[in-house]
Amino acid sequence: MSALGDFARAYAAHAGLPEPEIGFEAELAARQAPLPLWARLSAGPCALAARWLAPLVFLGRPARFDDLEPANKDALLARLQFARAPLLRGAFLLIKIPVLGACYASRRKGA
Amino acid sequence: MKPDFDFVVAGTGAGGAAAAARLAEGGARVAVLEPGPRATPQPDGTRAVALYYANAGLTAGFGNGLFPVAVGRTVGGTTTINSGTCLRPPIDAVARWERTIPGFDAAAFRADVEDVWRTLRVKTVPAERAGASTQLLFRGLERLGVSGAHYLDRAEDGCAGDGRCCFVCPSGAKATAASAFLEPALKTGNVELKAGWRLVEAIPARRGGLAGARVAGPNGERRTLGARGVILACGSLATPYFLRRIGASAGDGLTIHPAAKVFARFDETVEGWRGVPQAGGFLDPEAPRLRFEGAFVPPEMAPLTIPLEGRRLRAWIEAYANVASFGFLVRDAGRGSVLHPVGADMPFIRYTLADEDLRLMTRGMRTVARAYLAAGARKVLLPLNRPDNEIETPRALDAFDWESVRAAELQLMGFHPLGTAGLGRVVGSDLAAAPGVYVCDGSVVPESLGVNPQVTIYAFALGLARRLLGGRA
Ligand SMILES: Cc1cc2nc3c(=O)[nH]c(=O)nc-3n(C[C@H](O)[C@H](O)[C@H](O)COP(=O)(O)OP(=O)(O)OC[C@H]3O[C@@H](n4cnc5c(N)ncnc54)[C@H](O)[C@@H]3O)c2cc1C
Ligand code: SF4
Repeated sequence: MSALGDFARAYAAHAGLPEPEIGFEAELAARQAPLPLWARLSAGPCALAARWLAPLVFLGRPARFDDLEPANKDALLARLQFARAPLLRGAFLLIKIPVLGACYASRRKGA
Repeated sequence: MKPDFDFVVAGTGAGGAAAAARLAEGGARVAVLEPGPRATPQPDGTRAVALYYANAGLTAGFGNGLFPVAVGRTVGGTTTINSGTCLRPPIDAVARWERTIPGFDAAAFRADVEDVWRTLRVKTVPAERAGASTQLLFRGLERLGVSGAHYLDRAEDGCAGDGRCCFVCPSGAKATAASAFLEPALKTGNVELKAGWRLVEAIPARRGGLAGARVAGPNGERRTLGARGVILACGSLATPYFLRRIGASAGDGLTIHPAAKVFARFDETVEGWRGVPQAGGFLDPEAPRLRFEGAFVPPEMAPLTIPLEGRRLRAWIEAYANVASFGFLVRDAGRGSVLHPVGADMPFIRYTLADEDLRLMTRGMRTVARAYLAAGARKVLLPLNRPDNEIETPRALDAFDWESVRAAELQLMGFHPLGTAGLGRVVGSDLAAAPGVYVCDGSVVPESLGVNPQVTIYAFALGLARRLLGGRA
């Protein structure tokens, strides 16, 4: 299991989104395949940091993202999305591209 | 020594394809290099971005904010993934170029613009093909008593309103640099399209001899092509790399037309993915540097463009069938630069959004939000990365603390990088950067245009081809 897969699973569980038909790992791999090497290589470490480090840094809670209360999960994701530091927002985007693609794969056209 | 070709053109976007086509029609033998693949329609927009946008859509500028910049890397360049909107270059800009750039022939340039207009078969979007996002915005503007909204002119023939222009038009109706220029030129037999090949270095002519292009093929093979002229048309982000290698001081003066869009949630079904996404536009008479144009992303792209996260994001995605969006762009006063520490394909972009541009951005989002609320939207979502970005009433919109908005909070994007080898600054009116080395792509546009730039770039290319053919075309 990959760091990105773990984050995607936790993200989907929080947002109430289903696992993709082909599973997270396969869906993420397919979505990452056409990305540049640097983006593929950095998504994993970024996901690891978002899951393990970000709760401590942004919420002061030494907990995994998965174990936070739903309201705190939203608060953490908002901190990353609303980060003013361009590099931080850029790093979060590197996770979002494959993860949100995979999580929302079954949610086309608002269905 | 006999040249391998009369001209080597690097890039098949608006500038490259148009120049190559006119040169070939005039009898010149032309090699055209294009490292990107041929694009085929993709049912999933995210895949089209990954395959046909440079760096899979991950190109971005950094400065007082995060500024993603989109360009294409495919046959037809960015025109293959653009919205197809056509606007003539602003009259004031052309008049300024005539006044300030020695040798710039405004009359000939205007004639080239009309030539482009005909070649692209430009037509106004019929009201019935406009997406519902545009119709709703027009409804709101009407209720507010704002006049001047109109349907836009687009490069298309037989557009079915599939709404996927920026992700490769499925019907092939959109006129691109490939369909309108390159493909007809290939039929002349004078063009050799070297697909998968890229320029590595342009070599200026010495003492009246040939210019050259060091090129690399898809399997790493290298060759040097001799030619009367090498034309750099790799786009505003890559061309400066080649210019700097021959001693030109390119890369500064970057403008990007910072652009953003406001989302609005209605009770009624919108299905904004049907119809032409960029169907309508209008200008703000009190802020002429602000231009409003339709913008709608298909559902699979929405999670990445909506500035929300977690369950708030999901609520918008669940309601996406009821969501409209409309965009705006700024003729920027801010400037940026592009450097290439690791080669032409990895631009390092610096960009500073000017304070006056930030004010125009907030004015733009306020205008669109107000129009959608007047049209009956339940809620609007501002392109701001901050928690108070959802607004439900005109009163709340007025009460919003606009002065507190920072450039770093904007959810914006640049779709029109221009000016990194500006005419009159880096190249002369003959578009020559060195003996036998010419530039014709967005990089030569001398200033922030304020209009979608493809027509302007195509026109520069036609002018260059005519001059290189010695007035024969
Ligand atoms: C999403 C989107 C929507 C847009 N919508 C509109 C619109 O509606 N109307 C409008 O007027 N404009 C629009 N634009 C902008 C417009 O399409 C571009 O400004 C225009 O195509 C730029 O032309 P160009 O010749 O400068 O470069 P490009 O069209 O980008 O072409 C450059 C080409 O050079 C190639 N290249 C790169 N490196 C090399 C190399 N080393 N060797 C050889 N080739 C190389 C690239 O692969 C590419 O094909 C849009 C842009 C985007 C991103
Ligand atoms: S609206 Fe559809 S048919 Fe028309 S140009 Fe765009 S993608 Fe093509």
